[in-house]
Amino acid sequence: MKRSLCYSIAGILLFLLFWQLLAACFVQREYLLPTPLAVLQSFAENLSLLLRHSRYTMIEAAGGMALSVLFSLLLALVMSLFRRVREAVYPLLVLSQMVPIVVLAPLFLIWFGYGMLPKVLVVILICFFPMVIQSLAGLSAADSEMLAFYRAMGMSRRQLFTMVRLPLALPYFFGGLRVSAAYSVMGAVIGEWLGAEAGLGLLLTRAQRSFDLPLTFAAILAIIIWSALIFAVVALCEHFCLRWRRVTAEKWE
Amino acid sequence: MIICRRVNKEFRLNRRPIRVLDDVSLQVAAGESVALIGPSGCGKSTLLGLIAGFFLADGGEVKVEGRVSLMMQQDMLLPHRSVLDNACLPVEVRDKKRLPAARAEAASLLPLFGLDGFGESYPDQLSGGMRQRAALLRTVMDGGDFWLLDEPFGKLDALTKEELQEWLFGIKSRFKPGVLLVTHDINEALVLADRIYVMSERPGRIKAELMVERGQREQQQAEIRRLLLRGK
Ligand SMILES: Nc1ncnc2c1ncn2[C@@H]1O[C@H](COP(=O)(O)OP(=O)(O)OP(=O)(O)O)[C@@H](O)[C@H]1O
Ligand SMILES: [Mg+2]
Repeated sequence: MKRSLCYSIAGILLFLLFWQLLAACFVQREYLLPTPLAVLQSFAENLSLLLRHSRYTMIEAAGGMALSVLFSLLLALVMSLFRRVREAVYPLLVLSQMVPIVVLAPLFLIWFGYGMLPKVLVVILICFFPMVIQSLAGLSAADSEMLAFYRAMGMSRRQLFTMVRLPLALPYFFGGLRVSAAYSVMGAVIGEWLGAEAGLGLLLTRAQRSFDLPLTFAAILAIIIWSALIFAVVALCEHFCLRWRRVTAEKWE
Repeated sequence: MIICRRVNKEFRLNRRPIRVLDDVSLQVAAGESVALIGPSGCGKSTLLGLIAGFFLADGGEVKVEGRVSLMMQQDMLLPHRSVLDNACLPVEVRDKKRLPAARAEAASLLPLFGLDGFGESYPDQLSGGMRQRAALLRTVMDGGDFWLLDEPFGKLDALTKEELQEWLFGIKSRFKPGVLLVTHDINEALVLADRIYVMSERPGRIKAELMVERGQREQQQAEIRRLLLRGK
């Protein structure tokens, strides 16, 4: 564990070193490729600006995530309980992922204006899909033999659900949640990119239009940091909810 | 009392029906221990499933008077519950108030099941044999009127097996459950059962039924072996 962390950090440092050399010695033009140090400097100088815009982006991303969790759990539940609903909704779900977000987002803009709502919708559109699909797979993880066994033990439908199906579905759900977590900030940024009052996406477009590449990269850095934070929160939740999975992981390490 | 009268069962495999049980009749009286021996794939687990109510027979009658505790061939332990929590699950399902007492009892039984110190471990941390013993412990904690045991000692070494057989024999005389024991081990059947049914290959029929005579271990062993070999 410790060792793999060392390698990860070494890999990142090596990448930054390569970038620094490339930018400082070969490109040598800040408006084309700023050095990592210049990016850091811009990050520090524009910290309050970045934070101000981050607030919007993070509210959109976290809000969208929370709503996706609710929405996807409910949908997965209904779909797993009613076969007909599942058959009717599944194709729609898949179809919803085939329309490019960059095409949909401007439509949301027209319908819902420049506020947060259209961005939250973009986040939901991106985030709920992996969670529904995974939760659905998870809810059928308990096979019919196992369910028959516990039914014979005397479990009611409700007990079967809370004691067997739900716990067995949880690892799958968290798998989907991880994917969503990684995409959530990106979704908000894409939404803002196409028109917003505030947010990192707006800041990005502005910085790019004025050829302020250090600020552009600083905004990207902020996006990465926030995404990592959301991912870490999800991983932490998983850590506490799935204690028994950690135990299994140890066995095979 | 468990009564199966002329039970038939078919499964469908690639649209073609395959007959698994063919006119099987057997019974287990309260407090009686009955063993079921037969070649692999002859329908023993299917029969237990019918008695436990997993599915219905295609023909014949299955009557069960009393509560049944089933130990399947697969341990069916829940991976997110510790050994003790798995073992006490039947009690938890039926009557939550009895759970603390049941946990204490299960904990006291752990050493006997060779699970001392593993009460709080998760099933994935156990060996195959240990999981089997945990599943047996769960069946015992369930404490029904009839215990349906599907190869309960199949994965154990000879010594542990003997220990648990001895203990099962002891606890039988204490709780007096009816036992229907599926096994491949002729000796085990002769040690644990009062009566033995021998089944044919698929489609499973009852080929013979014999009372166990305590003094005639060797003769009966040979007899069962002959019954199993015939028709091969
Ligand atoms: N759900 C099912 N669908 C189709 N066929 C099945 C099903 N369950 C069992 N069978 C078939 O029924 C036959 C009997 O299976 P069963 O599990 O009862 O055998 P068994 O006597 O317990 O064997 P073993 O000693 O190996 O455990 C097998 O040939 C199997 O292929
Ligand atoms: Mg079997």
